[in-house]
Amino acid sequence: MPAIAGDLGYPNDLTSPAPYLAVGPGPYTRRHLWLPERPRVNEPTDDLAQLLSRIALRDRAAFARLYRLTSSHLLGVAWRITLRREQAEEVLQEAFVSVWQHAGSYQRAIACPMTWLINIVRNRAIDGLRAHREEMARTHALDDDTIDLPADPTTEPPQLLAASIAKLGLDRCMASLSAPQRQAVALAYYRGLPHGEIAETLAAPLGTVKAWVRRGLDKLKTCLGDDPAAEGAA
Amino acid sequence: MNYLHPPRLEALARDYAVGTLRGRARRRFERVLRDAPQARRVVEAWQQRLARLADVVPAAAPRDAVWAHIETRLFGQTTPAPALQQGATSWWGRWLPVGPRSGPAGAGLVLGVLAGAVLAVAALRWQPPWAAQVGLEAAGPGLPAAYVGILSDAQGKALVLASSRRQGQVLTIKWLQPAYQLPAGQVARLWAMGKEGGPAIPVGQLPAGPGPGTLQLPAASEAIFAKVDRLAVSLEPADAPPPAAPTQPFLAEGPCAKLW
Repeated sequence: MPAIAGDLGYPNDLTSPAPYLAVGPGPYTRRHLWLPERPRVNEPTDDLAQLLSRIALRDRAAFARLYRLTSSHLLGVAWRITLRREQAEEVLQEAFVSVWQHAGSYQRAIACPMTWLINIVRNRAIDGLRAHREEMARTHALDDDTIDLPADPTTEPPQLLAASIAKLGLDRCMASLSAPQRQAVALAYYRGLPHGEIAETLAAPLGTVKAWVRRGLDKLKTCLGDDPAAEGAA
Repeated sequence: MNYLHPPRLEALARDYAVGTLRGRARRRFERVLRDAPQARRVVEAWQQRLARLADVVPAAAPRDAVWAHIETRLFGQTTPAPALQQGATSWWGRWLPVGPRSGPAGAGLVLGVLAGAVLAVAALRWQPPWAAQVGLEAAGPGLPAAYVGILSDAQGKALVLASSRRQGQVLTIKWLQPAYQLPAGQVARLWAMGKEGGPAIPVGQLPAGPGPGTLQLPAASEAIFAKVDRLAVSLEPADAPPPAAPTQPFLAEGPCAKLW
């Protein structure tokens, strides 16, 4: 296991807004759903880390600023998993309460701030989703009517994965992955689905789906390079 | 099963980080993570990789009420709207007699202490991933806390949660009211009170909080707490040498129990 160097940041190619995000005033911007501007990626990593260290010292202004800079992105991540805005907002709320309480434990040597925040949100969303499903299963069948994540073919999980791969410059390296393998990875990461539900969605046997996710992720690891500390330079 | 066998650890870390590791297997692995730094490093490497996939997710601005609720929960400022409040109280907030939902103080305190002890074990055994990764608890060989104390202030609100592993040398402290701050120039000192009465035994100085912290015990937890059934905290002058007995009234006190 190689040592993980400090100050891991998003590499430079991720700090400029992606061209496909620079869409004009579409239906989503009108409804204030998507923000064309993504302050989180324009914010230098160190600033977020500094905010976290100030939050650990109970600086409420820093906490408010961190929220302003990151909450939209984090809500986007959570909403894709919960599919319901209200639940995603609850996840976000829980996550930020936890951030205030645990900011002192954030270690910049281990993760960049955004990674740390995304982990908190994804884990909350995945845990919350399970609790929600159990509750729904007890009361009534899972009700698709309450899903309010806007349907948009360009932001379906496979398209998001494709966009990521392109943005990271991994097209060639990931070319050997089949479409189902990519779909399985995309559903696992962006939707936070367990193997069983991925198998249902893709109408494939469970064992096959497990292998798809495994192979897809292992390929991603190979393509990114084994040492995440070196990725910024890659 | 040896979770730390490299290929197995790599696979578990990958499945944990992406989220496909579920249910009991997920909880088991979280316990491994809590105690094994090398396992945390493998997970963190995976999380670092996967976080790069999140960058393309369309952002969505939360409604203003979300921030208002966060502030209310942490700082108790504004009156929350009921819609988001429902189901959004933290897990210990539902049980401990703190915050706006406090019932009658007496019943609330008893319920809080009992539920708190149970939840403390649950939290230490089933520590959620975000807590495991931030190192809330000093690592031990996969054991839950053996001693737990919940100290409440004069109004009956739980203020401090203290826990230690069997034979542990570290007491983990959590201040349960994030807004509470120690007065300037004072430190909080922890005292242990024996079952047979007698003078309070000094345990040490509490971390200032409000976040979680630890207190280095002067001896193994067994030696200190085996015959103790109450803990208390007093505020003492920061610039004076540690007193042998409390010189100030107790800020908070409460039962201390051995869980197993």
